[in-house]
Amino acid sequence: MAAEDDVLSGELVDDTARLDLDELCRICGEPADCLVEMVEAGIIRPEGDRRTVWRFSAVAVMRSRKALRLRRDLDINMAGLAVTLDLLDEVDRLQGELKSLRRQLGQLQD
Amino acid sequence: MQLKDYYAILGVAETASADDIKKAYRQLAREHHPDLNKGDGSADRFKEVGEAYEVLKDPAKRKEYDELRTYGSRQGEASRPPPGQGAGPAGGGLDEADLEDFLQSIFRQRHAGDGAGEGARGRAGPGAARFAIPGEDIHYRIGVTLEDSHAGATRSLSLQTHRFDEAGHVLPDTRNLNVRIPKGVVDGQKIRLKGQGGAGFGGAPDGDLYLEVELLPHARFTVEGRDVSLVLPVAPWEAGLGATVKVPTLGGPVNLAIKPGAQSGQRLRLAGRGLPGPTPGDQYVVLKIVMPKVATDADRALLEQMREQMSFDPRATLGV
Repeated sequence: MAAEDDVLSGELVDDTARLDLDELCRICGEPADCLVEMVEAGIIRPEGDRRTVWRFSAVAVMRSRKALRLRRDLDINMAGLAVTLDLLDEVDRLQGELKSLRRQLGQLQD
Repeated sequence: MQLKDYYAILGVAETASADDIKKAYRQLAREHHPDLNKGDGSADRFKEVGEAYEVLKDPAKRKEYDELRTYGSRQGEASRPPPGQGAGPAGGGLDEADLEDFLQSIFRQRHAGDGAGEGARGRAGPGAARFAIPGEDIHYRIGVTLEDSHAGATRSLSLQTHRFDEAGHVLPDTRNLNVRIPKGVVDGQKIRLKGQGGAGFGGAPDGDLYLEVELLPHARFTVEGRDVSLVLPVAPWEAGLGATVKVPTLGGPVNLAIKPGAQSGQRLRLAGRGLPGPTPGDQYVVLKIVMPKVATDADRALLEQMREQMSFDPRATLGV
């Protein structure tokens, strides 16, 4: 077992909004215009009603990076990215539910 | 090093038009994009497809590639030298240096702007020394048991990554890390360890390490988000007459009251007995009525008595 001070504590990628627009731009390596477009397309949903007070969560970081990769590799436009990401979330959710239900069914049939 | 057949990778003829190449790439990219496919191997296939397209979509690069290909495949008989070089090596074959040069000329530009990417593309080589390249993010899946998610845990990881030496060469690097698994992590959740990804070059920051949690299957519990479910076997008389039974939970056994007249498949909720979190999950108990084995004459007599005395048609709703 490692000594206590050798143990790294990560940050959970969750819904807590911490980053402002500048920080998100820096992390994504994109200009503000691009990320504002993503907000307008509904790809990421910051807290706060004005650009100057927007706060983004770590989930928003993951989402914007995924959107940028898909845009770069598949040439999908903003509206398409919003639909794609929503559908991917839905697929994830349904696959989780399916996995869980299948296992439960297995136990009921044992 | 071997020159890859980019045409075969994209499944197009050497004579394919720019439009056909684009179409083929789009199709394959959709099929193998790691963000759209979780299957193993899709990332490697996508990388290959991306590399092929990177070259073939650009007329100048494609021309250079075609020349290199012709030269290489003719084993030195080519009338033209490879791009950027004098005469080929006597007796032919493809000169390693040509190939490396070519690949670097193609992928260099890409790296300069690709730092925030997922490392799906090639790696920064010595030729990239003039640029400051942020380290790539590393994604790593870790299997976590339900017990570890419930109680929190510390895990030791061994990561294969790379670093740069002073000349800008990429060197493999193995890093051992001890990482705290926070309480209540759920399937698919990511833990970000800042600065623990690939090394940056030229003063650029190191990448981050993302650990994607994969909750491992449990012998008893299934999990969905923070809620856990358990199939609980009960005797027919426990279901019929009601009972208080012991039920395992992640935090240890609890007593559960089953009301008289319970049926198989009925779901009971133990509030807050799932995985911990801002909103702790619940535990669902799904009842499964189990018939005892009829082992003795007395057992048989009991069931016969039920048959005689109870007016019960389990198929009443089937209209038969």
